[in-house]
Amino acid sequence: MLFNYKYGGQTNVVSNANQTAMSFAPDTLRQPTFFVGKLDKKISFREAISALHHVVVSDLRFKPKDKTAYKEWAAQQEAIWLSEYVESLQIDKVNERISQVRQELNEVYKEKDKHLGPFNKAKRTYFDYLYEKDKDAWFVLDPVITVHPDEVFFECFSQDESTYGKLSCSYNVFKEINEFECGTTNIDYSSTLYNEFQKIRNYKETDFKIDPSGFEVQTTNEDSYKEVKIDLPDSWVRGFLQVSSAMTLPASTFHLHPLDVFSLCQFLRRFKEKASPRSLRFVLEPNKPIKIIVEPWNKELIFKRSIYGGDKPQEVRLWGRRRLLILERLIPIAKTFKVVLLGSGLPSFFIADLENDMSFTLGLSGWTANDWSRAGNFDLMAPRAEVDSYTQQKVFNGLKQNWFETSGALARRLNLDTNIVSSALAAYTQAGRVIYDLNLGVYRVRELSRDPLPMEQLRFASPQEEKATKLLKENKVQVTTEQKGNGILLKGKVVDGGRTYHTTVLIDNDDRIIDATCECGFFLVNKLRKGPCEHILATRMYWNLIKPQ
Amino acid sequence: MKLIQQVKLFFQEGTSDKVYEIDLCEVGTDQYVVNFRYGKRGSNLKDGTKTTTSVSLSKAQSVFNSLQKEKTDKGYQIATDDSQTTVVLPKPTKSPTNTLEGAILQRLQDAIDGKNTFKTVWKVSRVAWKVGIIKLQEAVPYLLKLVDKGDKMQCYCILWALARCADVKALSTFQTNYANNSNDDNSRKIALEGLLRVSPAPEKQKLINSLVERLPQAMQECFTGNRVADIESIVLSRIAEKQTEYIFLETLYLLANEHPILSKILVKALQLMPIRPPHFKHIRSIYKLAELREDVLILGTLSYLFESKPHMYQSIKKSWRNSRYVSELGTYIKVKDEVKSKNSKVAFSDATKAYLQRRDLKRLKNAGNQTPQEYIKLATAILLSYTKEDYTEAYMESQGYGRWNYQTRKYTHTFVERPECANKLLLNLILNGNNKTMRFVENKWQKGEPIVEVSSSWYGSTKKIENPKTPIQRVKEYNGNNERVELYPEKWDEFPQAYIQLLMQGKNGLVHEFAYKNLKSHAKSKEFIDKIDKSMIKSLVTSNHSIPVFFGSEIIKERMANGVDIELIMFMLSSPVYEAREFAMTVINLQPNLFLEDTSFITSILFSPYKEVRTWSEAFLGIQTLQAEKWQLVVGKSIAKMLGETLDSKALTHAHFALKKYAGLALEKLSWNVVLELLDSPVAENKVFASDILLLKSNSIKAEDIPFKIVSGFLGAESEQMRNNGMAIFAKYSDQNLLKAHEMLGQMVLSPHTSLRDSAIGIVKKLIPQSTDFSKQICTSLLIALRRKETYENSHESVAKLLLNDLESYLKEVELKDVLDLIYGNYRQGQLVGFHILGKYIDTNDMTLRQIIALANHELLAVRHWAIDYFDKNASRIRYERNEAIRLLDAKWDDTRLAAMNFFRNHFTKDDWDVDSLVSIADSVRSDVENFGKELIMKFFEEEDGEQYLIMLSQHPSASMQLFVTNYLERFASNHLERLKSLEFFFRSALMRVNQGRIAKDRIVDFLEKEATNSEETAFWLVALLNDMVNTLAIQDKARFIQLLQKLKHLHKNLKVAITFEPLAIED
Repeated sequence: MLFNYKYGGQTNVVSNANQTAMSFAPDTLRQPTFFVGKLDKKISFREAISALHHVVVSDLRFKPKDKTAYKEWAAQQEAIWLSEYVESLQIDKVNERISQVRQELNEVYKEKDKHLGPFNKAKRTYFDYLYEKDKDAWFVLDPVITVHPDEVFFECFSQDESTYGKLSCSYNVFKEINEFECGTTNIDYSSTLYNEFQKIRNYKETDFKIDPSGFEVQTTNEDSYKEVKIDLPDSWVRGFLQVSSAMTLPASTFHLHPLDVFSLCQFLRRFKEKASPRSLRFVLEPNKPIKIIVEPWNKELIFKRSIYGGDKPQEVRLWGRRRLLILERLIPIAKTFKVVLLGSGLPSFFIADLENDMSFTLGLSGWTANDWSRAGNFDLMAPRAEVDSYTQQKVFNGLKQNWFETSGALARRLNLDTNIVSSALAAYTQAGRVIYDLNLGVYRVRELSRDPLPMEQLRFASPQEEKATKLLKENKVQVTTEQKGNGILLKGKVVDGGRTYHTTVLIDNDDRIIDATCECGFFLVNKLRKGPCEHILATRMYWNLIKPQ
Repeated sequence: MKLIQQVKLFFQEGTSDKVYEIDLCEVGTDQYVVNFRYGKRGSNLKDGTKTTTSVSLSKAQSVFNSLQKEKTDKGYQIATDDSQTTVVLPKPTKSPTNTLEGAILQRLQDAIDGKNTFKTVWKVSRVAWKVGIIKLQEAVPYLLKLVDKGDKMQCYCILWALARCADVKALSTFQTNYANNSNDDNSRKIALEGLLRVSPAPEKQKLINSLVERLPQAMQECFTGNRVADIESIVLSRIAEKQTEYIFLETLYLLANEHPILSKILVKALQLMPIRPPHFKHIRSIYKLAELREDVLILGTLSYLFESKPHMYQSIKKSWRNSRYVSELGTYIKVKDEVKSKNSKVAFSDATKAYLQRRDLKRLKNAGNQTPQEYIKLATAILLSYTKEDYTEAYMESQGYGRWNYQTRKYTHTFVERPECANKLLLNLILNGNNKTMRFVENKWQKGEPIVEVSSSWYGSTKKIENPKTPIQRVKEYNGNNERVELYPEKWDEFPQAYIQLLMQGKNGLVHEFAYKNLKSHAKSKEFIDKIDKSMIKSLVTSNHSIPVFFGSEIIKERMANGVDIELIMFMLSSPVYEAREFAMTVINLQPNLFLEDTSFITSILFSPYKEVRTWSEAFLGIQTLQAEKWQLVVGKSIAKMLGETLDSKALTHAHFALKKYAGLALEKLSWNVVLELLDSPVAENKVFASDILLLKSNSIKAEDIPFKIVSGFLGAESEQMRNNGMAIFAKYSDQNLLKAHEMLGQMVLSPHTSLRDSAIGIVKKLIPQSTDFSKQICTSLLIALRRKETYENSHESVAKLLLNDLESYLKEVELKDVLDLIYGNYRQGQLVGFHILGKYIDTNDMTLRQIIALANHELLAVRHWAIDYFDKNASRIRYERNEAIRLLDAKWDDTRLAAMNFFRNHFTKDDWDVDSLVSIADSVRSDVENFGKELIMKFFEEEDGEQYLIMLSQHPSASMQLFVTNYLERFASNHLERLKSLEFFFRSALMRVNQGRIAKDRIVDFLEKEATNSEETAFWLVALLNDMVNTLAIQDKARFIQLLQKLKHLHKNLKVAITFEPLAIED
């Protein structure tokens, strides 16, 4: 999906001994949105925005080690070792010959180095130069910034498409607010900014500005605009919407003391898991301390100061737990962490309450990698309830008047049923135009992109998933299960187009498909290289419905 | 209830006269009924229904059809609307049954009566077909009676016969059969043709209009606009497209009787179409219609096509095998099922091809039995279809390996002589049908008997026909001795004009040879040849085939006896055959003046498409002199030709060249309008020519008078010649005017074309000393060019060279902003030029320190060095602007940072620093600068500033700095609760650093322990932090905090701690 931005200049943070000036360059192609003020709670803001930066650069996807250089060396070395070995066996004559050849070979290598050396050196210098000159090119999407009558919030999504970060700052964080215009815009963002943020101090006067000057008409000097075209993967946008759409779902909520999060992070930092399962198991029992079991060691962390207030016991598993380390920087300044869990393998949210004026929301998708082995686990983009488009539009326009409101208040104001308003707003959340503020329980207008997103394209991750959903909906799936080793073997019968396909799906302790078979053509041709076929997916989805919690 | 379909039937025989009406009605959504009424004509009809409950449309339709069929089988006929024409049989005339006609009529009578008076049994359809072939008008009433009875085939054959007879009585039958949707398509097509034949004029026109409306929109417009000939291009483009509907071909053919040109268009289309689906069904239907019409043009073409095009697949005759690999489709096809489907993917099997060829052969045979005219028409049409490519030489064919003969103990080899075009059945049949030596064996013609050779070798030596001759060779050697071997020579001789047609329109050498020889040997040949007019001669000599050209040249040579005809010689000069052109050139060389008089002759040789004619014309015009007025005329004609016709580009170039060479003066005098017209021409060569003319013109008029727009257009042209012309004209400008054109010159200096660029640079260099204004303008535009993308490789380099060598003195006037733009530009040469100006001409006092520091971040090492150098040289300014200057330490280049640190170490003393600036150096996130900051702080530390350092540095986020800060705790925070409180964030963030900063943590806890034990107030403040921290998972810390809390609790009983202490129960 291609996004075009035209920033009015470059975002820069300038600091010297006495003051710091932050000026964010907004996207001038969008509705003018700006904010000019001075920071009041400087240190907290610094820590929070730094945490947000960690979300932007977070990439926990598995990256295999680059072994090409080693392999090249080993290939060369092997010949030498071999000759050495032969040398040790053979008589002097051969040895002589070998040493002669080796000498010649060394000459050749030297000659080669002499010729290629300057080239390699120049190549290295060139790449260094590129890295220095174009550091910004290494980032994917710039954060989105929204100005509302009560707060300013930044949102971003990580490179690995799994972590969502939102920093809301109420107007108490600022002083001497000059002017502002509500709306949403993207801001120019670069890695050097992070370094400049670190220089924020309490004793320095700090200007905070989402620069309105970019929106003024400029006739000359066109190049002071910075135009950026970003081709975002569909899966990225889909992930973003999935996480924000998850916020509107009912969930179990509890609070954690900052030290609890500290303990958790500490445990994760100290021990590196090498075998599956790798989940965190939240054991929630009413009026009892929250217990977290860290797998695979099954280490129990009991947080005596955090009592679960829900009314029924529950156990929720959470994967991709290393992403929680992003919260580290907030521990000293957080008063409490609110945790919102939707269920095992579903998105979860950690909201740090920063001295009442700021809150930082960390949203985690079900897993770190959005890979096929989790595919079809849940469908957060499914429409929840039918609301006609006229009413939807009415609700949206109503919300736009006040920028944020609870669904109840909005329903009263528009004389509509609360359920209708809620489902309309949920639909807008799925489309990235409204966001649910978990902290205050209000809906806020936030248009993620300038143009509405193509929802048809984003609804399903693949055509297979779409077909699988259809099969499931038409009750064409039957599944029997049996225990196999560490995992569960699902045996499915899927009726598709008058034929019955027998599928097997092996699911491991981490709820991941580790092996699967089917009888359809897609599977026969591709095996699992292109992801599972619709029948395997349907089997897996069926299992999600029936599995014991 | 809505009437969907209705049919009215009637039955008349003897005294019986009754009607039967069937209705199909809609009663609701997808609910239909079939009702009927019957009774004596004119009486009250009784009614009934065939559907007790309503049914679906398809069901109702089948009920309807079966009821109708049931009734027609019983002898009911379909009535047309109101005008009830009843067919009353004539009394069977007692024509003798031993004649063909009598037998046919008797058989038809038998069919009506359901009897058989003959020994053999004939199907009615067969009888009807026979009627059609001989067009037996008397049989029409019988056929009308029989048309609705029987099966589809019978209906089809009867309609066919009726259409052939074209009897007006059949009008209503045609109408009903055409209107009846349940009839099969083929019958309806025949009925339509019948209608076209027998309808009275107004109805016929309506029919034709409706046919035109069926055509695609573009074709319809051709009809309404009376541009029927234009349909050709539409048809040809439509058949070249894939996946279009081709039904329009049939419609066009139905209209071909009205517009004969359509037949010719269709012939062309047919030749281009593959005999494959989806075309084939239409071809077949056109073929049937052509048979009905006896349209020899179409039939001849199709005969040829069926013979020469390969079949698509092998048909399947046996039932046990039902699928066949069709290589054209690359797949197996169940052909028997497939051919029955509506849009069959296969067609034209080997069986179909053989069947159609048999049919063609039979037709030719039948035509031979009829009048000479009919045979000649058909044979000519077939012969005209054969092309040059169909010609194959005669050869000897070996019949395989040698055969061992036991008696002679030798091998025998058999050879067969194959004549020319051996695989062309119809061609050789028509041309060699009476040749006793030719036989058609195994799909090929063979000449004479097989030749047997005996050899001791298993391999036979390859035999060749000795001295084979091509048709043109035989024609050239022809001496009037003509052996007539074609079929029906007497029929051919009756129509000698067919020979001329074959010569003019034929495309095959054998056909030409046949026509030429027969024409020459014909008794009246001289008479016919004399009748050939100039246009015919032209088409003969300009033909692509050698025999017609030879024939045409022969006529011209004969007629030259009466004096040279310039026109005829010019025809020969444009003949594609070399000999003809050569002859023409010889003739012209003999009498040059005669031809020079004719300006159109000169024009034509200038544009000759033949190379040797052009070369010759060059030499010819070089020798001959032509008056200026003549050249003017030639120029006028030539330009009209250039603008009006599409010409071969070589010929066009030659004409341009020759005109420039010989008619320079005439070109110079050409009017502006003509030149402009040439410039507007879409042909690139003409534009170049126009620019040439303008260059010639600039000899006589001032270059400035040529509009500037045109000249600048030349400079940006694609063609090099044109650009050079433009430059040449431009160079003729006076210096005065050149100075004004600085913008143009500025662009040309950057032109990607070397020649243009070089001359522009030459001009610029010449002009620079003459005018300061001009130089400034050029300088500005060149500087801008350095900030844009290169227009050609190394353009920046040459621009920079020009600037530094020739415009140096103007560089000092460049403003700072522009210089900085250059330096920060994306192009190296621009950066270098900018740096050059910066170093040489910019007053650094005008620059802000920020600008200089930014230069220290530049990617060019020289620029960075310059900035550092500036620092070194202007230490006093730096000192003054210290707070700005320390930003130099944040440079992203290691060398700059190193130099900056050195600078501050060497040039700054204790007095030059204050706490704020030192702290802000230490605030850097780069560890080297941070360390440098620490170093400076430690170096210049003053006791009274300690407190300030502590507060400021404690806010630093890095772990190392937190450790650094712990150094100051003891000295500046002891016994000072307020300060401790202000450091709370520091304590928290240091203690809550996950798995980091062990030493700092320990120090802090130690420090706090000491503070809290010393002061009750501090203890009460600290307990909140401790209460938070005590729940940590790190055992070491946890123990520490518990101890600490216990200690404090012990000291201050009122302290609220998060843990409860219980005395251990000590066991005995």
